[in-house]
Amino acid sequence: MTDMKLYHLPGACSRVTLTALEQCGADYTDEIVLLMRGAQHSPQYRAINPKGKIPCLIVDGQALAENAAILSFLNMEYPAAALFPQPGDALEAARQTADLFALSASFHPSVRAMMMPVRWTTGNPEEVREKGRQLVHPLLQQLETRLATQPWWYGGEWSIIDSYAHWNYTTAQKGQFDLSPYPNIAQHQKRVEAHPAYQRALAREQAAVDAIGGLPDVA
Amino acid sequence: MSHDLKLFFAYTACTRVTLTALEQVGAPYDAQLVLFEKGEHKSPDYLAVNPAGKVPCLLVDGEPLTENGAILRWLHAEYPDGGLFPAASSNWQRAQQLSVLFWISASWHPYVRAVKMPMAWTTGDIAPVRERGGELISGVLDRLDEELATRRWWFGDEWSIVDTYFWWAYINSEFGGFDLSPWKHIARHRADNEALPQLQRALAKEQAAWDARKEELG
Ligand SMILES: N[C@@H](CCC(=O)N[C@@H](CS)C(=O)NCC(=O)O)C(=O)O
Ligand SMILES: N[C@@H](CCC(=O)N[C@@H](CS)C(=O)NCC(=O)O)C(=O)O
Repeated sequence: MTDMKLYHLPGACSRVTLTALEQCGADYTDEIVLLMRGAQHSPQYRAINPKGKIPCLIVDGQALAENAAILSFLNMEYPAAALFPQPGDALEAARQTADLFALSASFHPSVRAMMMPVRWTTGNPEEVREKGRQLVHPLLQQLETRLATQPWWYGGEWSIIDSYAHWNYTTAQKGQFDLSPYPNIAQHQKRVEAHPAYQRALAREQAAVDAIGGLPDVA
Repeated sequence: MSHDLKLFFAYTACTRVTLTALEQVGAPYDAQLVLFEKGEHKSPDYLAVNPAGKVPCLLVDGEPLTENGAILRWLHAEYPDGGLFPAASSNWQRAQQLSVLFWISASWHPYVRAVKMPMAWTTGDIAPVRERGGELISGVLDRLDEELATRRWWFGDEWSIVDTYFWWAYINSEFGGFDLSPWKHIARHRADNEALPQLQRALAKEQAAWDARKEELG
């Protein structure tokens, strides 16, 4: 692997991708896509990722879209980085993949209903946010139960799934979801935020913001 | 290598894709219809199998595996010559195969839900959710149509399970009242899918299971 570049925005789900790149110790460049200015729809960005989404990872000039696919790719390329625990068999490996699907296809769209309800309606966003709250609640309830007996999603060791789950629940919180009924998740949040790869990802986001002289105000 | 397989599926649900995959690889399997109409997916018995209360769920030697995309990848790993995905020679190709699955599962499927089951995204008025869903679906249909203008199937000359996953997504937006006729290459792709014996066997299996139980719904 020679040349890697990540398109991202601080605070967006690309924070998980940055955390993975940092955990892998990968050498990469990055560029901010100003979603608040609609830059994902610009002809320049559409030429890079026609889906108009971040994250998008460019490897030797070719694009890979979808956060979970990028995490899987990095896991295959950097096995020593332990983005996931080593699976014992094919079924366990498939269950890790299933966790990525659950986070990307159930969690993320439900969180979007809270954080950006207008993405799901041309009408009253509050009715979508309320539905989002109903959808997020059972997902967090399951996570709360899982974390009652172990510090991390898979047990004793951090994995990138912890970061992905963290991004989802902290984003739901930004969308007015009340996390206070979930004490185990509150502890998990502290652990995830103390992880060195997360800290480096935040520093990398800050450096990217500084390089463009700050983020524009949200319209 | 030989596993005891049992799929939980629902009528017209995204399990059509999983059933097609099982038919394609030729694995012996059991399949059990979960009657959403009777709330069976939220029954204690089913929640004990899959706490998410969703289908598909595949029991592999009694152990549950959820998420359509993960089941399709597991079947491909177990039956590498089953033709579910093209042969991949690099991590990059494997990642691209995953990328399209995540795209369908995390974008198409939730968009289709907004069109077909808008109450899944709101506690209130459904018309504005359906309207937004139509915009979102149009965006991804444009993308797919553009790609299908250059080749017969998603990955090229050969069908893969991804094609049937797309098929399930767009025909379900039609069930939700969305007009697919502007997308010409998709119309052709749809006809090609519907001619596939593995898809036809899956639909026949689904229909037979439904017919056997539909009178319970009164
Ligand atoms: N399924 C995609 C979703 C990506 C996604 O929704 N990204 C957001 C940022 S968190 C985005 O690019 N939004 C801009 C837009 O949708 O216009 C993935 O997991 O990569
Ligand atoms: N991300 C899941 C989504 C599964 C899903 O939403 N299945 C639907 C049927 S198409 C379902 O079980 N719905 C019932 C419910 O959510 O209550 C997957 O791809 O397997």
